[in-house]
Amino acid sequence: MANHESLLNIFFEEMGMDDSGVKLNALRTLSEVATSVGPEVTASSLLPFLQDVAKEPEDDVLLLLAEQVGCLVDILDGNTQLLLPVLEELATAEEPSVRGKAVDSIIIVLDNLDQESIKENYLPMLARLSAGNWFTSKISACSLFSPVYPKLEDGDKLSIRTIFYGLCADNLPMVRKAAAENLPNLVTQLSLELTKQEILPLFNELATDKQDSVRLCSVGNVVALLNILDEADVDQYVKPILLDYCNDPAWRVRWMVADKFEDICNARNVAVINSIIPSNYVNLLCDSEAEVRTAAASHLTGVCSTLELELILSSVIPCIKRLANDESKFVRASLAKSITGIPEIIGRENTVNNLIEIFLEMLKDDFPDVRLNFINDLSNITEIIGIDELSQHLLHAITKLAQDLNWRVRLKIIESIPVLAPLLGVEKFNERLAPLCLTWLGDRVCAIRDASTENLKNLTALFGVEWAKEHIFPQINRFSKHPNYLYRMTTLFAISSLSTVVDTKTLSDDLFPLVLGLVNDPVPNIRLNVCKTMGKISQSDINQEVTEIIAEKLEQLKADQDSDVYYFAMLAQNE
Amino acid sequence: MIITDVNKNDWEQQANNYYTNTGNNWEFSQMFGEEDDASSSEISSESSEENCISSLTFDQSGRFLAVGYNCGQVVVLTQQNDQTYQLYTEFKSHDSAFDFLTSMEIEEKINMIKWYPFSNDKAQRLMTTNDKTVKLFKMWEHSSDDERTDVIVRPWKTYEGGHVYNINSVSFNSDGQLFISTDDLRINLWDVNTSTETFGIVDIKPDNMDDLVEVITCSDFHPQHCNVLIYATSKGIVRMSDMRASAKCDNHTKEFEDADSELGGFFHELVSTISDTHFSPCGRFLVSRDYLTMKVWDTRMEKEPWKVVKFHDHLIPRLCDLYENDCIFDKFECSWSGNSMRVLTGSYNNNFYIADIFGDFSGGESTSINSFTAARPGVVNQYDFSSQLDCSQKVVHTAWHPEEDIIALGANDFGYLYIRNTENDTEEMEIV
Repeated sequence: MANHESLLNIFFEEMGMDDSGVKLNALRTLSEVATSVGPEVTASSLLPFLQDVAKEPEDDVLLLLAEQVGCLVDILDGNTQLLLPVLEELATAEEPSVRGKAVDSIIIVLDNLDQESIKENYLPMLARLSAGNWFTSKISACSLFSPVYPKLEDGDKLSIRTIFYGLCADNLPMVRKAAAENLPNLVTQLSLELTKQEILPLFNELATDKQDSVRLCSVGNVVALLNILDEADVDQYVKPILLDYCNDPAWRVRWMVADKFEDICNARNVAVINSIIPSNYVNLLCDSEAEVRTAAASHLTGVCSTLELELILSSVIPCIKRLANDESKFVRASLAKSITGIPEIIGRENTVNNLIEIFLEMLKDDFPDVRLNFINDLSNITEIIGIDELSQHLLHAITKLAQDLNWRVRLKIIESIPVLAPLLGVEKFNERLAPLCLTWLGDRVCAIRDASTENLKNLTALFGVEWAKEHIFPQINRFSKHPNYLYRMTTLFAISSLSTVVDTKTLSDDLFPLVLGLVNDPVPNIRLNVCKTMGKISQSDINQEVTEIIAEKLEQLKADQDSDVYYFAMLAQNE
Repeated sequence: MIITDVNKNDWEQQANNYYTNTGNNWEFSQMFGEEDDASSSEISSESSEENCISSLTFDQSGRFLAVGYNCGQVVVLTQQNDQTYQLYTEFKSHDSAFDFLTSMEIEEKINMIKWYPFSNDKAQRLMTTNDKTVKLFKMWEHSSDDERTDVIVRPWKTYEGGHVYNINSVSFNSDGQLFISTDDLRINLWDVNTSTETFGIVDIKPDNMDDLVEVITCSDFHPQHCNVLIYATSKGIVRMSDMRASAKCDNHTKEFEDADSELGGFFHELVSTISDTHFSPCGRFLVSRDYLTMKVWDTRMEKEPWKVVKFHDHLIPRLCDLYENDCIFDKFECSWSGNSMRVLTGSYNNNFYIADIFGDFSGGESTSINSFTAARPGVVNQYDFSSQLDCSQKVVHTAWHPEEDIIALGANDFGYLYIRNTENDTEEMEIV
């Protein structure tokens, strides 16, 4: 008992300090403290204390508190409603992330509540938050209706809905916005009758709200209603609003529609609105605002997979052609990402007839992201049309990207190599790309050198050890004797990486000697990496002889003057 | 694009009715600031520079008045039952900082204060800005156990790193979520909840800085429409942008420029730079204050201003002197009355003007504008402008209570509150 008490006291003391680092550390032990003092003491001492902590100003502390309180559910099993007061306090915090965590924790607690607790604790809390003086509590309340709804009796259901509708019509736009965002979650739980009676008028109000931010967040309701209502109602009530949305004067609203368009196309009752889908999608693709075009283009594959071939060819393809030459580089990059799914939808012949030029243009685009996005998903295209048409331009594009001045671009292309290599086949690869892979080993930027060693491993796994021996090993050999120590380091990293994919004999005969040669290197950095590499090698399949030599050399290095070398030698010995 | 129908004649008739039925006489109510002997002003001029008022703002209900100072201090006053204001709380908003890249000091002077548009009776949010950093404070009343009520002010968000040039204004959007901060060349759009990102929506910086001819001096969001904002420039132009039309608002929707400016010559550009601009509370009009005039525009008509109010013509012959002593660069503020009927602005000699802005300004001695002097009663009589012009005494900062006829004036380190004399009012006027 004494032990637990002192644990609690230490906790209180640390939480009372000024240093927020100390507080955060203390909070991370909350579950432990609660477990050791037991549920009664937790309820009587710990929770009231936490309620005061919840009033403190530091957002970091509040965020962690919100999270940790959710973890106390198991400890208070049977009495979890006691956690609600602290969480209610946190749900009124200024900082949205704190409120979000508090809401998440409240929902965790909810799962643990029985009917009586819900009625006596949860519902009153919800009512208080919804009537809160400061708007932050109302915003939090909006997310707490749909989780509890299925657990309620009819009488309570009605009163809860009423409160929620009140929030949807609140004076403050921020509250209406939060309510609009959460409405779909509630709608999915209502009967058809109720939806028609109560939700439709609300939907109308929100969709025509004067504040852009509210209209923007109600677009999600369109999808929900499309899935629930029957055809006649969709035609009468939802279709006109969707049309209004597509033509809204605010570009942010149109952006939201573009973003949700795929969901709309996959909704249950989409047949009813089929007549307006293609034309409106094309409008969004050709919108005056680049942001909207970008959003629309990113869903190209998703939307087209729901359209008929004829429509795609007649309406969407001409649009794509225009987008490929769009003045905004972000639009083109977005198109490059999503266009790779199109060949599968329209088939080989149509692709060859219509899209090849666009692909070639993309490979030559000024903006590196366009080229990169396209290349990343190339396999989808080549499956349909094969590689030959593109290979010339493809190789040219890859070469150009590999030498781009921006190292992040170079990095991305290296990461795509293992995907591209099998598409091209060994011969083409050897011809054009193998030399590139080797120059990357010697790149000025360390991240590139690291990525390229990883790359070599993948290529070896793909093309086989013999290929590696012929194309890669000579370069590694040269590097191991390079005057600049950074290149010698690269050798060690490469060997570490390759050790997992080559066979025992190759490892012992070809690669290990290089490592041995560096044991007595003058630069300590090299020597400590030798230790690391040896440790790595000994984890693969190696023969007895090599094991003995490693043990011997590690002993030798343990006696090294440099303390870091000693440390890593020790570490390696333990492996 | 926006704006309900306001028939010019109807509005002017309503306005003239209002002016006839309510007098335009203002009386001293209160003074606040460091008590300072007028005679010893030279000795204490250095410390009083710090204590100079740099901004004044009422909140949406008029219950609070925030006063910002050159020294970075913010004082909040609250309205009492007798219409006077008492100290509610004060806090240090900004400290001076050193910008290492340019080796320049960043002053702690508060350039602008704005109240968050939504509040309750116990808690408010207050936004302040100096040259480089915008801050949002939460202010609330805390009742402790022994029944004392304390006012607590906590900084909640700091929006820094958004501006290379000096910030001149901030403005909240009516949606309660967005706000703009404006410097000489750019306007940034922020979300209140996010201090790590901002979106540049207006950028008038030329590619070659040698081509720079125009800077932005102030900006304002429309009070009701969440998508409309205006910004004014040193060329005397007010531009209106619609955030719905496109992501970047560089292409303005409307441009309000008075081509008929009579004063030509050397001083033309200097006096036409706009020092302050605001939408009217009803949202139908906007006013711009330049050195010599105030111009009221109907937001639907760009061709010419609805009214041009000239009240500084007596300064025209002295422009040379004013240029010599740098006073020609003074930036005077202006404020609308809560019912959009009158406009207040300050001037030299501690004078301030209140204009019946939709009244008749044509020809002769205009009766539509009254001038008063901000001073403790019995201290100073009204100056005759033709004889003496005291440029060190100037009412630069102004604010008008949103619901009542109470005005606040900032003149150097003193603040004044004036109330309209309602003795001769004939009837209660409601403005539609």
